[in-house]
Amino acid sequence: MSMFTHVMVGTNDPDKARAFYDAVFGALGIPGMQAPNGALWYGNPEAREAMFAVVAPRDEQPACHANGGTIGFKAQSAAQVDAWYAAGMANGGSDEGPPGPRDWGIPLYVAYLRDPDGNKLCALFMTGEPGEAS
Amino acid sequence: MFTHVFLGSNDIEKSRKFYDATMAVLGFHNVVPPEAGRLVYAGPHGTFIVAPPYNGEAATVSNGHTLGFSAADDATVDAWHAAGLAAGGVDEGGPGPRSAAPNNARGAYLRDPDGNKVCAFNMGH
Repeated sequence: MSMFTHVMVGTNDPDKARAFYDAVFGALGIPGMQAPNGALWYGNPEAREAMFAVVAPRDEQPACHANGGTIGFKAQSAAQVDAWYAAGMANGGSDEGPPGPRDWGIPLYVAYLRDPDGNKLCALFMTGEPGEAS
Repeated sequence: MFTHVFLGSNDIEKSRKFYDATMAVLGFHNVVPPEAGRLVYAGPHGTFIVAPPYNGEAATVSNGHTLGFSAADDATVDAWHAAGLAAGGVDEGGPGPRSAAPNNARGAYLRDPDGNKVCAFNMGH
């Protein structure tokens, strides 16, 4: 069981958010859908795995990003991290740290983006895991 | 889908009290020593980190952001909410069925001491 059921972020422009998240999740091979209330959900609801959602805030106040908040997405290869970053940059995201190796005690390959609303994201591949591109 | 989720803190000791209590209910424990100045709750399928922002500025709350934690059963949802209220959290929606969730899942909502919105759900309905 994943530690997380879901992570939700706010948007002030659902069309921009959809273009961005369709692209970055497409690079990770994760499908998306739009709920009747307009929320965008990404993931496989049948798999009982964690999901990601993008919504206009329910309190009808503007969405804003946190300082100190980051959401890390799992990539299956370094090439997928590169594709995720490129897809985001081409669809309204902004650079927060280009793809490259990091060593946080374990070797990693990571890229950082901000979504169109400023939410900080990263894609992370744990180098050496099964599925590593050779 | 997620490797980790990071939330900002302006008072790590208040955060420690809240998250040590609520994460223990879910079966997770902080794996770094107190002098690290941050909290790292590591599981086999995800890591949750609470820390002061790296840029040295105050942590701020996102409007629109919610972080959902998995609870193994309904009693764990209730215990998570009670533990959080007793450890500096603020009620954002008490335990009960959530009609918007798949299968009317039971969930509960809290704000952590910094105002971050968190919830626990039993999705196994």
